[in-house]
Amino acid sequence: MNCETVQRLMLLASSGELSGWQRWRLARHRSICPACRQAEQEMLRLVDTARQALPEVAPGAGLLTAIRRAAETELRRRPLAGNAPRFSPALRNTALAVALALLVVAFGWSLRLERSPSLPAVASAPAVQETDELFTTELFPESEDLAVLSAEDVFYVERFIDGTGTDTINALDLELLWLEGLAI
Amino acid sequence: MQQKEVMRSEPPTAEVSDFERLSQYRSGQVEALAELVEKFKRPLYGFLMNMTERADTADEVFQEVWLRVIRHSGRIEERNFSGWLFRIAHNLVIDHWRRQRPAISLEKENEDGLTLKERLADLQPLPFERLDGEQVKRRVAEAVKHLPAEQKEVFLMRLEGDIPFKEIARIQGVSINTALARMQYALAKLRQELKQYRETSPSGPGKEAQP
Repeated sequence: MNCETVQRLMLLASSGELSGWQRWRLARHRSICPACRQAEQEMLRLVDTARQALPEVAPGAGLLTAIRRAAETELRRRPLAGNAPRFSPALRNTALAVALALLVVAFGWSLRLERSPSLPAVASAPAVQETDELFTTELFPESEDLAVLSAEDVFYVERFIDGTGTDTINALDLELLWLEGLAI
Repeated sequence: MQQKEVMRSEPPTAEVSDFERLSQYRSGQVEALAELVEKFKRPLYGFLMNMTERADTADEVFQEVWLRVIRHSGRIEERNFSGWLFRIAHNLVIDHWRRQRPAISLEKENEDGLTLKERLADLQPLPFERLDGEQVKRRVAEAVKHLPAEQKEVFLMRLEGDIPFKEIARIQGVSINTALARMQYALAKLRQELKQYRETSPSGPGKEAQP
């Protein structure tokens, strides 16, 4: 994993968005790269300074009052959630009758469709494989991921997987582990 | 450090609470909405002030954001309330820019050309502690103003709204890598700004080192 990827992982770490596998990769890189360790400290300090530098501003009381009034008006205007509008029995019966009629028509239509000659099968679109963007080659372009892990790496992998039971390991992670002979 | 990250990555319970407050408002409790406004007034207003750079515009957009929340409170399907709130703000800020500056490009990156190598090469710690705190703050605040819109938005959503990068990417309609790169560029520029300040400031160490 190169230093640029690591710097992005550091940002994700600061927002608490790393998976267990990513945390392990970041920790591993940190342990061998003093430049990135220093860069991370620098980044955290800069963010902290910037956070303090942003001016403390707040909307005026008049604005908050106007919003509150608008919220009250909206509540008066529409029915409350959970309170379904009440209909007269006659109207309710009519609605039920219409719904029943529609059901009968739909049933009849489906029977008619079943009897008609079958249409040629339409080629279905290829299934879109959902992958986590964080694991695309753009972020992890290095092939070194497939390198055989050392005993220390195995220790970390096991610690991160077993120790943090709720961590999610995505398909690519599992594939990498399998390639590295660590599949569970 | 690892432990801290594990703790941070747990699903935030605050989001559920915000969602519940919204449900309470829909059930007739105006106070629940007032609590939401109170909770988000500083981060949201700070974001809008920095993005629009005008108090009257920030007021106008702030009010419109909450009016939309009020009007569409029954339609929210996701539990990430802050993400939803900042997405509304993002859309309204874009509308505002379009009205003000029709030629503005929302996609064009105005990067500074700093390479990672250059950034990593300059790893001398910034002597924040040796500079006057207020001066640094002013300098940083000024630098934030001059960030390109997309970078400024990512930066402010993170720092003011504490919005996760995944959500920011969704709001901006870009990949997470782009959102992260925008944050990196924003930080690089702030760093550069502080470095220049350090070199030019009479009280900075750059000057102190000279005979």
